[in-house]
Amino acid sequence: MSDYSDLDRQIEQLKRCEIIKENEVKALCAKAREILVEEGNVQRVDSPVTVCGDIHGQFYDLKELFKVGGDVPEKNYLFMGDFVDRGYYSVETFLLLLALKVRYPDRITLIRGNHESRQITQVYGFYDECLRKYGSTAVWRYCTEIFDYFSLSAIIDGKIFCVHGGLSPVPSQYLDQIRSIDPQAGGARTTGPCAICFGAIPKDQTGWGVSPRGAGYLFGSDVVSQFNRTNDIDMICRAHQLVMEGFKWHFNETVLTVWSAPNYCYRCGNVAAILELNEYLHRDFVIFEAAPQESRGIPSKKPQADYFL
Amino acid sequence: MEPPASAGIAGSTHKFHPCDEAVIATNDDASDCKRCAVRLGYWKDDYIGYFVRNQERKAPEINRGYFARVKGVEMCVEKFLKKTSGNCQIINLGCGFDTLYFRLRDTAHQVKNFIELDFPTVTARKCYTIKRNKALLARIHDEDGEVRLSPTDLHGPSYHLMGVDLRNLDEVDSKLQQAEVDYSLPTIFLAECVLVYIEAQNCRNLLKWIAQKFQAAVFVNYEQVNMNDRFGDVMLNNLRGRGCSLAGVESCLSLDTQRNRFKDSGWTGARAWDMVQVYESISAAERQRIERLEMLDEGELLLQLFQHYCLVVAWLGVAFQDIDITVEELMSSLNID
Amino acid sequence: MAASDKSVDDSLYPIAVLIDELKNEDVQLRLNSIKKLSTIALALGEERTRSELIPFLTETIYDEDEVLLALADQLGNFTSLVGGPEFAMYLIPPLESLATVEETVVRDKAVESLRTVAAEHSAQDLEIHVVPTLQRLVSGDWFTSRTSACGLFSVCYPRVTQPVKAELRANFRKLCQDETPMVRRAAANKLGEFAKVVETEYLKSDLIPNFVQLAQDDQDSVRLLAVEACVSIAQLLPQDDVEHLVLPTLRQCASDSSWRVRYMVAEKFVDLQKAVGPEITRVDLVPAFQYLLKDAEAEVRAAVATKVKDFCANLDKVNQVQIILSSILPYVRDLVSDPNPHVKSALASVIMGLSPMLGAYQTVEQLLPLFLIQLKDECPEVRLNIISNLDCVNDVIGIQQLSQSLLPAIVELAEDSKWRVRLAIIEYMPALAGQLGQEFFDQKLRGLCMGWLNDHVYAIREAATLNMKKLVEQFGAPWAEQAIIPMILVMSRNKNYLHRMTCLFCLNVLAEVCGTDITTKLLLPTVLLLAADPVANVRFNVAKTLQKISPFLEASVIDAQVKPTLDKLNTDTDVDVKHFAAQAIAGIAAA
Repeated sequence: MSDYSDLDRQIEQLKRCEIIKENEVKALCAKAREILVEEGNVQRVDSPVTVCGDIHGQFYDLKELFKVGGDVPEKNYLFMGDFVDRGYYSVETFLLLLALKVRYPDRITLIRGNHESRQITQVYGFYDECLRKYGSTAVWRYCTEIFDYFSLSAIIDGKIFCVHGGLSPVPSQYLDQIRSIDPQAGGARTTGPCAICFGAIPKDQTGWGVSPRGAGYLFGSDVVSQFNRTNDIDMICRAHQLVMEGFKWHFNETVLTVWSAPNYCYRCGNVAAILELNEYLHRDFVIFEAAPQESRGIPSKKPQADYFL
Repeated sequence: MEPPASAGIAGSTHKFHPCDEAVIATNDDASDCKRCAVRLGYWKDDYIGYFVRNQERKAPEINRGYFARVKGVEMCVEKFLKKTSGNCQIINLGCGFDTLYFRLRDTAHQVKNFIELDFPTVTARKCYTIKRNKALLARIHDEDGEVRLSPTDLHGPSYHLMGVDLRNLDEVDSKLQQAEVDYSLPTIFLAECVLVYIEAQNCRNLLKWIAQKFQAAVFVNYEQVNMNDRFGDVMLNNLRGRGCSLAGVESCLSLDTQRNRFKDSGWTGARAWDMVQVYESISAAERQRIERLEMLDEGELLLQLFQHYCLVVAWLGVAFQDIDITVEELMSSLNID
Repeated sequence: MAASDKSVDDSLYPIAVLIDELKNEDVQLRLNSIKKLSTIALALGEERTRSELIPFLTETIYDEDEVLLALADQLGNFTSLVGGPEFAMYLIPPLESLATVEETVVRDKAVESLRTVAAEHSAQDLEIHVVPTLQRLVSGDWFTSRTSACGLFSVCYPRVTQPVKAELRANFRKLCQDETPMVRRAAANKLGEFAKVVETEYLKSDLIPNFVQLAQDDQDSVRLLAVEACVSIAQLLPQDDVEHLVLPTLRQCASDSSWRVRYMVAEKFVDLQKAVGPEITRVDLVPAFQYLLKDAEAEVRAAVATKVKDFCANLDKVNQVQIILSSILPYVRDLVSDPNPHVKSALASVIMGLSPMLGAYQTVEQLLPLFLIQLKDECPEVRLNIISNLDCVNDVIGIQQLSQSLLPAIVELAEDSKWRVRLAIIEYMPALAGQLGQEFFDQKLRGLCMGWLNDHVYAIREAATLNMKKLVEQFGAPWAEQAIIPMILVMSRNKNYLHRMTCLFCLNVLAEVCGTDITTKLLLPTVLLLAADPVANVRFNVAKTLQKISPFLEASVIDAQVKPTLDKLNTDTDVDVKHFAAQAIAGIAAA
């Protein structure tokens, strides 16, 4: 039985939305690296597990997620990326998830989203937040280094393929090929040949397309059915896109979008969802709303939703 | 509060302190955002930096949204200036720290009179900044012109900045007269997110009053629309949390309510477009240019914002009923490229 | 101080570094160096802090607002570092210039620090060093310095000589009449605290005219600050004077054309009520309160609705019930069906508080019908506010009466779509159960309580589990054995692991209240059975449960049944199962 007292204390602290010290972050990331380096690009996950979509630094809403879903380790979780950016508590959110990963590696799986990147976090807030909360960019550097070690995808009981965005057109309909991508190649993952793409979006027609807005591909129903058939999987579970109802089926229930950031950007008015899979992969969606004001404590600076005023 | 939680069921009980200060603070927010977008290269504005010190980075969809707003308003202004050949007035209602006057001075476009009105607390700060910066002051007086100052008002030969409560029409009238307004001269009124803060009845009174006083006028109004949905509810709650109530929101339910507000107040006609349409009317080259400035990975966020803001153009008489947002061949000379 | 022993070159070091850092391009570095200013001052010693550091800081005040803010903050706590109160005047010049900058946050912080430092001056030093600063700020060219000046009156006034006092009152009057609205606002904002330190005769002769004038300002933001000052002033004056000097202005504010001013009156209503006393309340404030309850602006109605309870509670006891029934309730009844959800919700958060004032009969007659409407309100917050406050009505009319009237509504809310509403109902269950008795509970509510154990929201299952324990505390172990344990044990065989987990969570708490016999005979076998569960989460919860229930088991049972199971779990393939098994083994051994 190893001594978890420091880690448990850090988890308790982070659960109160208090940051841990810079040297603690450094040590945490080092430990996380040891664990993540063992994980494959397609991380195997066993049911039962609860699958979650984007969180985006909405710390109090993540706590709400655990309220409706149950805590780690009692419940197993798979988070499909985009832990940081946009929300006001990316630091606390990411470090809490990472600390839970280090404390209970078998109970929680974190895969990488397109916001787990050096470039994007400099535009969408995580970089600024680290600087504001720690007075230097060291914590941002530790965190972005660890981003490179996250799995790109996961497969639950060999049947449900989970990825942040979706599929990409590069030749790789086989999961084996995804597995062969060098996990330490860093940025190469987003630009190089890989079967999965952070920015991919399901599209109405068949075949492939290029996303009209920003990076990423569109993938059609035929692409999915071929992928699913070849790899003998039942469905693809992904996040990445805001869906107002929290979850959304595509292509005759072969692709599912799960979105777990309620009232995204504190503005969008959407509800959030998590997908609970029991030990028989029976699906149950739990819908939840943003945490009420009272549960949020008094933050140092009142964050505000952005509008045109 | 992490904002706005208002999507939660208990989200609406938070402390609320209403006053004009909260509305006034929206000018700071808008000015910060414009400064940010200018710094990133969305459009050119050599003057906003004098008024805003904040360097905070805003999200790409916010920058693009402000770009569409500035560009949309300026397209209308430009057409109006061309049509009147400068024989006209501009009256900027709730001007905030808007820099249009200064930018126009650097172009070939000159107008007879440029009048800016806002709360005295805003104009006092704007006066303060203008007075302390020679670059700004120099664009208000010519060689022999003099600038008259009070703490809240500033009068140049063809520029007048005055503190006034737009709900008080007697005061508006007397201020406009101090600014040597010419009620018979073609006039364009600008209002960016201003009317929405004014109680509906006060707003109608203001629009009626303008319609009675002026002979030929255009009103360019940028503000919220389609507020009758979940996004609108959340916005009302969020702004309420900041002490800001959208007192005129009933006119922001649809493009129809937006147009009708003018038509029911004595204006000859009105057209309205949501910001999706406005954005699409900006030249493709220009859009491509700014879309390359920053990666926007979530188009749906911008779309949702654009669907909830609009540009309304209303006119008095028939001379200016063709002022709209379609782009002309001649590229903007308003210094915004 | 170690630094004072060092060589000259060495002791110059801190200020050189500081200068260097303060010139660095990186704001963050400049900010960090300002934040450790006190360390540098300590290293320099008091004398050099006064002669070098402070002048340097005073000269270099031109930086990002963030840095200035940090500086303004630091200087407020610098008195001991410059040599104590007799040298505090050294801090005034840098703070004075910080009090004139453009950024409001920096100015406010500088004023705050000036107030702290001013209070540390001796009366003589105050007049020599702080009062001139105040006067310079009052006559500053820019509104920034005049705004800052307003904050210094209350701290200077009580400690200066009579002639200076007269000057200060004249200065304050000047600021109240300033042309810039921000300055008038700052004056209105500080009027209340200034009033508290001014002698009553001057309060009446000088400050009240200022107050009356500010309350008629053309800016509503100034007027609403005057309303705040109104409370402070009313508290300082005898009733007679309040009636003549303050009430006319208050009446005018309550019907101000700006709803924001009316809102502020609503916000301050109870404070005003306390300040003016029962007679003026009855004659003047009750009508004003009614007026605000009917206000055209929803924000005003919502604000005044939250004051209903406190306003009524502060009515004089002789007339309280009569005033509530005849003058307040008719208006409250209208608010129950207000078109605005904020108003309804605000009312729902306080309305139950009227019950103790009205007593049982009037509560049943007048209030219960309103509660019933609110329990069915379309806005979940209204429902939640009513349910969460039911207990204060219990005390008045007894739960029997309450539950008879409200039970159908409560049963309906047990399945509300909002989980926080369900949660509030669960939390009300133990009290309800205690009052209704076991038979009635078994008939009407037990099914609901069992149903919550299978809710799809974890927080509800958790609360339902805890509820089980409280119910057993009410009805006893034999009831548990017969009425709920069989149903809970069945859950251990459910196909869905979540139900098996909930079963374990229930056993954790039931062991505490059911005693050794039931725990050994009924609960333990099920726990042991689940040790072989295919799902790791269930298995490690078995380990946790065994540790939790072991205090309620005989040592022989632990040795024979618990330990072997834990030993087996301690060799599990799952890391967490092993971890919690090892923890349980250690925990039981230590017990």
